[in-house]
Amino acid sequence: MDERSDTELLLASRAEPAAFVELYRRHAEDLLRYFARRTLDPEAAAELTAETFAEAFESRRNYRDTGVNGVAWVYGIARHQLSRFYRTGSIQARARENLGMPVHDLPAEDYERIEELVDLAPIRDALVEALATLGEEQRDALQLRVIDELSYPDVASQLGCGEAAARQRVSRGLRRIAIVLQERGLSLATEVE
Amino acid sequence: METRFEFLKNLEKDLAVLARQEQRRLADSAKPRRATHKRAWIGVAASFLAIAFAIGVLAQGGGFRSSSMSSAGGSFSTAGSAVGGASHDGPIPAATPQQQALDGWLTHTGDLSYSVDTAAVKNGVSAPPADLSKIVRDGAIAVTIATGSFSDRFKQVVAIAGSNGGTVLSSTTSGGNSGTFTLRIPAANFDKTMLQLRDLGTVDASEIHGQDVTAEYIDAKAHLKIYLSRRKVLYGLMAQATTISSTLAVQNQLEQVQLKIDQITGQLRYLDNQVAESTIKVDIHEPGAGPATTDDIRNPSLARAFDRAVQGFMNILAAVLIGFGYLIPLLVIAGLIYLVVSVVRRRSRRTTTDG
Repeated sequence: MDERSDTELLLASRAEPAAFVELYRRHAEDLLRYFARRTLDPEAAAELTAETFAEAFESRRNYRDTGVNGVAWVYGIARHQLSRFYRTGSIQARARENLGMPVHDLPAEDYERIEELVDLAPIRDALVEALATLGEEQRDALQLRVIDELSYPDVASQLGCGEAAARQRVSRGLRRIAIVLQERGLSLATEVE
Repeated sequence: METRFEFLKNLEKDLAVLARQEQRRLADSAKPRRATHKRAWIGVAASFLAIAFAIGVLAQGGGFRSSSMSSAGGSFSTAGSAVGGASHDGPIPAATPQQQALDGWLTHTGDLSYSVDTAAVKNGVSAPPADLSKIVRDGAIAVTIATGSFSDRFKQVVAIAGSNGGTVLSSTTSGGNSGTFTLRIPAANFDKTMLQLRDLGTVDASEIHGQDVTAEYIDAKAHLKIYLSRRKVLYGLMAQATTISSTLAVQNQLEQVQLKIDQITGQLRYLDNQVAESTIKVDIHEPGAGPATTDDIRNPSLARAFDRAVQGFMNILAAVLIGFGYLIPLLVIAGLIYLVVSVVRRRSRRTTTDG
């Protein structure tokens, strides 16, 4: 167990890149949750998490110790990523490409685990309203998954499509809703500072 | 922290691979940088030494002077002498009266070297006082003469020896264009003779040795005085001896004392002779003939080579030290300017960033 603080790890990672991996281990799941609650989309949350850590690794030499916990700097990058996501509805892979990192598909079992990170209860009413803004396929998929709380195999069965396609429809639908809610000024989650 | 998300595990693996690659890249780039830094520092140090050396040489007047035999150009070297004839390698001891007298027409140019003030000689400045009685001086000179002039120069050498009250002790000629001479010249005319020999042609090399035998001479004189007193006493005892055995004993003592007196008298006569006259070895040769026999001048010796090596080393060291004396204040000033410029730049950069 590395006893160094987040700031120390971040500073050390300039000459000792492995220290950054330790920082990742400490905060990866929190950052994933941060993105999941703001995008409502497991796929987008995973992508944003990967891109945020890649960008942090790439620009770690720019970090200056100003007395604030080092991980706040990583969340600063996360906020930039998130605002770009809200603005464009897409996620860049620039940092990962620069570093030569592979872009993995989200494993099927992680979909539901990431969804568990999202607490939809406080936004359920807003969600129902937002469903009206979606296309038919995404709205039906979301209705079955989020409102009726069916499993993905059941959603796929009811929609008459494959399980992966059902996941994608739910994912895209949630992403769209997250953006709409953000545009309407509804806060999806408390900012992590 | 162990995560249940496969995606995060994969991402961790990717970052770990990336970190390893980055670590290798850092290690690889650090090595040549260290080597480059090392090379740069060596270069800077070498340049600094070279500059210091150059400044040192310039500060010393543009060159070194060798204490050993120097080539033509009017410079003589002296081999300092110690009592008893041992060679002296350090700075010249307190000048003897004879050396002080020489200073009148030899311009002192360094610890061990003298240059001839030929102008002073030509203007008729008198030679040093004739009292060289306690200094044994020897010289050697090698001169290249004009082609076809060997016969004339041969006669001239003999004439120079004669005109200075000396003699040609021996001579050797080789091929009709080179020869060597051993001259015995009254000590008072030694320097004058050397100058006249230099005028024979182009001087290839010249050397003057001086050996101070004053102490040896005084010591011998003191011993002689003691033995003379002892002889006087023995003469008195001889006159008072009444028996054959006592007469024989005194006679035996007297003979030994007389033998000592003879030895010391001979030694003093030899020293007087050595001091009164100097030996000059002369080599004259036409161009291309080369010196006939100039063993004393040309033969290298390990001792001399070592002396010259040590002297050369000390000369270079001295030049570098002198150069440091000039460079260090300049470096301090340059360092201060660099510091001020760095601070100003850093502040202006900070101001720009804040703005």
